[in-house]
Amino acid sequence: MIIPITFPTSDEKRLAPKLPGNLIKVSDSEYVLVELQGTIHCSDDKAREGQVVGTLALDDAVTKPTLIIGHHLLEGKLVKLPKPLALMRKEEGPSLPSSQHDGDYDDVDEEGTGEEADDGKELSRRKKSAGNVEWKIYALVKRKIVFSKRPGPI
Amino acid sequence: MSSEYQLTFSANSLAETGTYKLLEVPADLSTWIEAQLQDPETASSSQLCIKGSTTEDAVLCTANQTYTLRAVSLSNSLLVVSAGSREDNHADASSSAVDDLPPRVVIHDQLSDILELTQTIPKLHKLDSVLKGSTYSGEEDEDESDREDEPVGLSYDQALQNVQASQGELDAILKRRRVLKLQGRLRPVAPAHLHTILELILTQLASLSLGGRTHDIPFDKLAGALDLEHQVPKTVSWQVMEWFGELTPGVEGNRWNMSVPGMVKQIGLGVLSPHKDKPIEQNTFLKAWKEAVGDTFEAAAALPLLSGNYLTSKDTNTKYASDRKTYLTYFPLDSLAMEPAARFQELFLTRTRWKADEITPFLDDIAVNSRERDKLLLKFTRSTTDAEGAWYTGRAMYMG
Repeated sequence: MIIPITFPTSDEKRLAPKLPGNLIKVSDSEYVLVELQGTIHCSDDKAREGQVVGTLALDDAVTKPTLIIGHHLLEGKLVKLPKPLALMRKEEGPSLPSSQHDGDYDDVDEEGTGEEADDGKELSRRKKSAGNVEWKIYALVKRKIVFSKRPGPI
Repeated sequence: MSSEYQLTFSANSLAETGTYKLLEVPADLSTWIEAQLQDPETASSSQLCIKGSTTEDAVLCTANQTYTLRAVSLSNSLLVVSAGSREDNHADASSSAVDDLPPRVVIHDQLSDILELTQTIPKLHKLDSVLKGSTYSGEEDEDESDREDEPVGLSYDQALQNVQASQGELDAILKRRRVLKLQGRLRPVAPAHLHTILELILTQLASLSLGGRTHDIPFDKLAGALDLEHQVPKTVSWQVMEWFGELTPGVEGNRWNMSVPGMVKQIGLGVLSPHKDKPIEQNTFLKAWKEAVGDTFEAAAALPLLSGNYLTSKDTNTKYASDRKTYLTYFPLDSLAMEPAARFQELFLTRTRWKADEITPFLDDIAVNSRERDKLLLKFTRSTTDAEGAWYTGRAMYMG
């Protein structure tokens, strides 16, 4: 069994939401890693979708990140990773809606003929691996924000 | 002045749980990944993959290297955070004050382990078992058995799917094991038949009055003669000549540049291989070898070429050391186990103690580099030094 590992296409990269403000100074990709002691739990885990956890703040010099969760204040620091971490996401084979989505893109960038050909190739490649799982590397992370101290009161 | 962000779970947080993984990448691989990320158009999709059946430990293969994957637990948890997509920001669009709130960043997943990569040698034991029974030993044998309906052997793609090795490593091992691709199937060529083909090539060269030429040999002329007179199909000649040299397209058809050491080595192996249980005296062997390769190439026939394929032993019955003859036994590296523990066991069953320069040729294919090899020696052997130098013996040996 072979599980391919791929990379996002330039379209996917362009459409990915960019990190806001100072966070962009931490990462050269669209992702940031935040390390916590312990895990975040919701009293009702099923209802956590879209729920607010807290407020993350980062100064301009990106040296003093803070995280406020409820009445607790966590002070953190920025740590360089000894070895870079590649962040991968599991992608299921294309379902019907996503191929329609591709069609939408075609409408948007119709000015480039070369791009259209690429899209065709991409589509056929996707069809070939239909139903299969693949992992896509979205980022190479070199730094993380670590909150390792015990939370203090505000 | 610091900027604030509202940290939230993503809008499809439950579905996203478990879909992210972190892979700790070594330096050489990270440079490559970075280049692929920066320039997605050049990204070659099939270069990186995870291989393994459900019963095997998975490996990660690049174009020409294999890494083992191991999950390492972390005591802390890592949150995978990115900017909120439109969907995330609109999740509670009912509240009118969306604009006043700090920008959202969302947690996609919480991870408590990372995957560690360690470079490894390709896992080839499976290749041997799947290639068994599909040996090719010449056209005559092919005709005898009626195999046309059902091609024998495994296809290259199947091998790529099943063997835990990168494509580059698989290609190299297929070449080393002398595996032909015939009608899309992998067929290891029988050593005796290969020996015949090589001898035929040398005699044909002589009869085409090309004897002594090692470069710029016309392929079509040579292969045509082999096909006509000895029933060696051109496709077989082509692949064999690629193993033992280089084929380049020229103005008057393809030209073959022979690799003399490669040819001479293989012929030497052919001469030595019958002596697996019955040692042959070194000078007798060298004479037979030189005869087999002919006058032109006999200078190239030297024992170091066969390193990793033979064992030497001294005749201890004679009175004077200078009279003692050296005997050679065929002992091919490819027949040994790929697992280090089993390999050392086999080696120490064959011999109770080894000199460093004697044992290293038999370890090169199970260690990535010489440092790894020394680690294996440290782990599986005990070294002792006497007047003759350092010796390696098995770990579990009673020393009296």
